[in-house]
Amino acid sequence: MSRLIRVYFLNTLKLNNLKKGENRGKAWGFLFLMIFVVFSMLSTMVAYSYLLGSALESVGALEVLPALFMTVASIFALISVLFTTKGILFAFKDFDSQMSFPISAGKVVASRITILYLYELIYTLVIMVPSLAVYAGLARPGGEFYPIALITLLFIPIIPIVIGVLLGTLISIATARFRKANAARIIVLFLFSLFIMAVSFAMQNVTNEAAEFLKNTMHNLYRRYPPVMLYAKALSGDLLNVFIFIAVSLALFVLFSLVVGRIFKKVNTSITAVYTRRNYRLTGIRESGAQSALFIKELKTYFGSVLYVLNTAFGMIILLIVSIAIIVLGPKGVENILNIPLSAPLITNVLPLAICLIISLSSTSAVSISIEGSRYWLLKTLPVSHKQIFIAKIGVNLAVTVPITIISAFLISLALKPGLPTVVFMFLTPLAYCLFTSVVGLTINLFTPKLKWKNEAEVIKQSSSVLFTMLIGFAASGLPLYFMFTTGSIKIMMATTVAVLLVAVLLLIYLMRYGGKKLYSLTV
Amino acid sequence: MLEIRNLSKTYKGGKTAVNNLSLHVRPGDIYGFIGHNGAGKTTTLRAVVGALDFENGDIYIDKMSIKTKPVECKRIMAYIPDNPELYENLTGIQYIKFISDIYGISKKERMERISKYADAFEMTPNLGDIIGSYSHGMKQKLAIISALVHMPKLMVLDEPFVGLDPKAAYTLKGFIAELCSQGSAVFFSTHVLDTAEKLCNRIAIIKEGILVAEGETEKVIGDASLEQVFLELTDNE
Repeated sequence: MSRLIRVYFLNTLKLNNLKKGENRGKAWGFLFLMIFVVFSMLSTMVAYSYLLGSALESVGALEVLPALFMTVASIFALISVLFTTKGILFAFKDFDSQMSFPISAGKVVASRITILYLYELIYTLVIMVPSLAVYAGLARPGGEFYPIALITLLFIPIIPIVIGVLLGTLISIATARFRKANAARIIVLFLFSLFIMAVSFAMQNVTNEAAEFLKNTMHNLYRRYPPVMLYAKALSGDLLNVFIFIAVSLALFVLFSLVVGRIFKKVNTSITAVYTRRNYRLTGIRESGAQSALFIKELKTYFGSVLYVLNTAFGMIILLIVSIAIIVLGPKGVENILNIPLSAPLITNVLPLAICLIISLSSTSAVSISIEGSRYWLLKTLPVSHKQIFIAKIGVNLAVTVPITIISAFLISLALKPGLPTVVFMFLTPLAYCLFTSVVGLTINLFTPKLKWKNEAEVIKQSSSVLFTMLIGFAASGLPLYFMFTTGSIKIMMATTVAVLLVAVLLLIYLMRYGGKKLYSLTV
Repeated sequence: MLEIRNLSKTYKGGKTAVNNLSLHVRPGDIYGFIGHNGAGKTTTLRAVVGALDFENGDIYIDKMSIKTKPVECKRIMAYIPDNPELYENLTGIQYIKFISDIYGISKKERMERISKYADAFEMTPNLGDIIGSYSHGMKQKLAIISALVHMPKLMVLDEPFVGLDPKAAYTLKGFIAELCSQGSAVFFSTHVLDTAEKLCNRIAIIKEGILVAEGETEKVIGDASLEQVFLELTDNE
């Protein structure tokens, strides 16, 4: 079993490249980038934990801090597992070859569950360790806190994994029967994620006092999700609760592994089943140009992947929903839900940049070359120019972002009635960011492609291209947003729009002139 | 139709896959390219179709260099790799439509050709299903149909008979002969020596990146069989 896990990580994380091979430099660069990202996330979590911890301390509720972060880690693990169950636990590409090895199916199952667990444990550690450290610093708990905190950490991801796999599998099996299985999965998973977000927002209505509401929310949560209560009590030194928390998690894990072991083959067959009709009759085929054929192919590739759509369009759909809500419920109604005074001039003025932040996190083009994977030979042998290929890939990101951006800008402007300059920037700046993220994402993916992959999550969620694009997008919209918020000067918006457009145009010229050489030199 | 002049390809890390290779495929030729695993066949084929960069030599398709006029060369060529990975989320008919649009095939021509080739390969009922549901052989048939739809002047195939059922292999041989009788050329790699001997009018044998024999099939094999000649040329140092 350990060998299966070892081979998985050697292959997925390309660990051999660190030791030898032509891509050694690239592999080390990626490792350092990952270390940098983890450190950045850890320091962000320390800052958040400290702010929340201080606020909770002021209302005498510091003890809910670890439980609060445990909830965050659990929600994160739940959503993450929901999207990766198909690919890591079930329907992984080397399923057939692994099942043909002279090892028991139970060991294959155990290795896949362990892989899933290890991924979630890493995320849990990144979220939990800073908050526990801050809590220890502020609350000065007794000596028993430290071993308890350390041991219970290992069990936090288990219950969300069990729930996530259960839901993810049910969704995959149920939707596999549909002819449009991917569309059905996208809708169900999107609605489920929306439901989790709605519940989170609804909980905020308890009170407007941030720390007080957190305290009340956590106490509400203790009833709705008992593991949080068990964890909170366990950390306070109650050994019985430590035992119950670990025993419940372990029992669930064992039960879960046994159940999955029994139904492993059956579920795999159900999930990988594809609807076929075998009754096609040739009647008529429409004719279109090469550029439009490439664009349609890109769109079909995009909408053909549930993970790709949910990972890149989620923010845009939320933006659309919030914009419609502003019109339907009125600004005050949305303010009450989001707890953000949208109609305050300071907030209204920075809204164009807030929209840009969402657009920046929605780049489909950052994955568009890597997603070709083993089909890359087709792109290289088709009689089309690199310009046509790039336009089709950029076109998909624009198709996803531009219509929603225009509709949202229109609705928000109509509802909040800001001044003319803000209305102009409500359209202009986000549209500039649509082009910017499309071009930046494509350029980054061109230089950091990952064409060899077994599971599409490797390129959609875990590739350096996506990471770089998000970091650049976050900096390009987050920094002006911060300065705009602190100074309120419209000149920042103006300068940002011009700068972003300039970078996008320059990169576009570069791609069109010189990008072809790089595109055709890539090999799988 | 295809002229390879002094082609050399060395991969990063120093492995020379093809060394100073030259050959000429004329219109009407069915040209077999034979060699051991790792001899340099796929590297050569991929360089021909513009899927692989190479540092020395040049490749001409209908007198146009693949280096300087890649799009024009690709417009008159079709390539089918040994393991044709296609767009899994498209249906078979959507894939053929995509290829027809890229190659600018008129509505009338594409209808006639799809009907002819899909029926011959018994694929018509499956064209409405997504490619992800196809077996390896069905994907290969689809790749062949979409290649034949644009009637290429040069068809390049890597191990075309592996994965096809006997009937489909027989059908493919018929279409290859038909295509070449109309002035096109077919250049393919194979390990099936019997098929190469019967089907090809010209043959090249490659060993460790170097061409060890090339010419008309009868002249290359003489009185022996292709199997004997191949083993003699590739096993003896």
